[in-house]
Amino acid sequence: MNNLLNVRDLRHTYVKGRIQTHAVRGVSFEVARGETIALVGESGCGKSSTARLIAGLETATSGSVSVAGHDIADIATDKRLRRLVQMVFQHSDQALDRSWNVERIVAEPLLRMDGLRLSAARTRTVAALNSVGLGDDFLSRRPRELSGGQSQRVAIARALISQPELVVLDEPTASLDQSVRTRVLDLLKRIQEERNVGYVFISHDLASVRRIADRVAVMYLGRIVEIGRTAEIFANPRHPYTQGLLRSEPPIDPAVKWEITPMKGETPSASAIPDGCAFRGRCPIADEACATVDPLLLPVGSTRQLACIHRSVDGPI
Amino acid sequence: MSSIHLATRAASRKRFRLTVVRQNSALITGIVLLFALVLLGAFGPLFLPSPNVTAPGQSLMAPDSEHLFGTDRYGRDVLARSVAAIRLDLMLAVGVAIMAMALGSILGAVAGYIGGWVDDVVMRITDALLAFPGFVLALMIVAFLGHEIIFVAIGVTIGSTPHFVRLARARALSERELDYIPASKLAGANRGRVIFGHILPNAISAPLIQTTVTAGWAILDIAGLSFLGIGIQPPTAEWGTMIAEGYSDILTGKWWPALFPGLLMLLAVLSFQLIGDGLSRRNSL
Repeated sequence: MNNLLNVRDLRHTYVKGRIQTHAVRGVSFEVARGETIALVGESGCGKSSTARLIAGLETATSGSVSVAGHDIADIATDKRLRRLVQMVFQHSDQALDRSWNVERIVAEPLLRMDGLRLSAARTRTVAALNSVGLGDDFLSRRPRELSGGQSQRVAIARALISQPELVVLDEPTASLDQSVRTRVLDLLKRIQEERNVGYVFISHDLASVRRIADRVAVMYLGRIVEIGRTAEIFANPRHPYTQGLLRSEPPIDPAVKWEITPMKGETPSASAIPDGCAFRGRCPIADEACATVDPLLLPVGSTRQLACIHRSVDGPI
Repeated sequence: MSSIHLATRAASRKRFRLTVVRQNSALITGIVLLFALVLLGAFGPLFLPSPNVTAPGQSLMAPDSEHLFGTDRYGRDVLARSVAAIRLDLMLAVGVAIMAMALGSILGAVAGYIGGWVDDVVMRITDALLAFPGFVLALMIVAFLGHEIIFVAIGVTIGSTPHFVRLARARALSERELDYIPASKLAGANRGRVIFGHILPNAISAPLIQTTVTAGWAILDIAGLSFLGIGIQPPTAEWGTMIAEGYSDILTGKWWPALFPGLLMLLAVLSFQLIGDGLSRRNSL
């Protein structure tokens, strides 16, 4: 296995009283070094749960996650391995402890993992800040003195200071302005080129995905329904859900008339998942077969996988 | 149109400034008052007669130029005794409030962050303690343990702790949902680091303000216990014991042995309440 990240049949069920919520229902994919995979889908599709499982913040019900050959359970408990996987959170203002200053926030991984003192970590802290375009005048600042873009850069500097090999980015640009968003994405891309770090990029902003991701995995109700290279997914979506998702994005050219054709129906509850294909209630091409067959994620072509009994077999890719 | 707009804005700004001054004035009055009491307690005894020297011939003398607050029934100088009591009562009250704050905040932060059975145990005990008024609780503890100063301190501390547990726990519950907690776990922080490095510093502001209010209540509790005869024992100069010794003389028109210690106690409690009030308003602003 030369992959940086291997996710194998990952499942996660939250139990609260008698209600079981199947947040992740058998997700498998891999990420190579220096590669970015984007997990996209509607709210509640399990992409954030998957992110937390990959980062080792929660323990999966079943299935496995391994990073650079180490099981995530070992990474989460071993201080020497902990640096391998880091994460950048959606709300940068919440992800920074407001009672700490930037220096301690950025240096915390070094203090905890390497047992360094703040003064001994100073050089690396400044270097980490510089790498995200912030000067050492930020060291003594408090989170409340930072703008949204600045606090997300601080969060990125903190995630990178321990030299991780995989960084989980959970909607890192969702709370940012459009202009700041682009700059943060470019920054992430540049850092990836320099350090060959792998990214798992969680987002529902398709423009950001197009900008940063090498591959895209489309998730629906805890499963991947389509996965492939970013360009081919955007150019030629095959799964009816992917097609619906891409149609919901406004066109970049404002002169083009946007034909809004919303997907019908609501996502079923993750605690009452229908038999057969989970998407069939909203699917324009569903028939009786979809009610009985639970579609598997099967290869179509060499770089793409699809979970639809109708689209997997007919038509060339 | 725009002039009206400007006028209302100016008015609202003035109103804002007035409220700030009013809030600060409570805080400043409290601080000045407390500072004066501390100065008096620290340096007053240097210029006053010993609080425990009895003079049988001079019992219950009305206030005059020699004894500004008069003398009690043993001929002791009431001013000297009232001032000597400042040290004991203030130090005891502040000590008790800080102990209760530290104990309660740590318990609350731990219970709120860890949750589960730890939270259940801590909160059931806290609720059980809250069912009694703090004073009654302190009274029971002191009656059970004994009449030493240290037991009075322990009793009042335990009686004051539950409020801090509730305050800190409530904040810990909301803090633990914020993303900086998983972020610090990813940085390799263990549970203790998360609680003492992150949860507690962010949950401490409300307990800190509560500390001053608690110090005021602690003075009343300590004096109350002593007044009932189960707290600090005579002949130690303490406001509660002084009032207890002096109140029967009020009936015969000798009001000064009970009034003056009561007055100083009132000022001390008031100063803590004003500071607490001023701080909590500033905090919520």
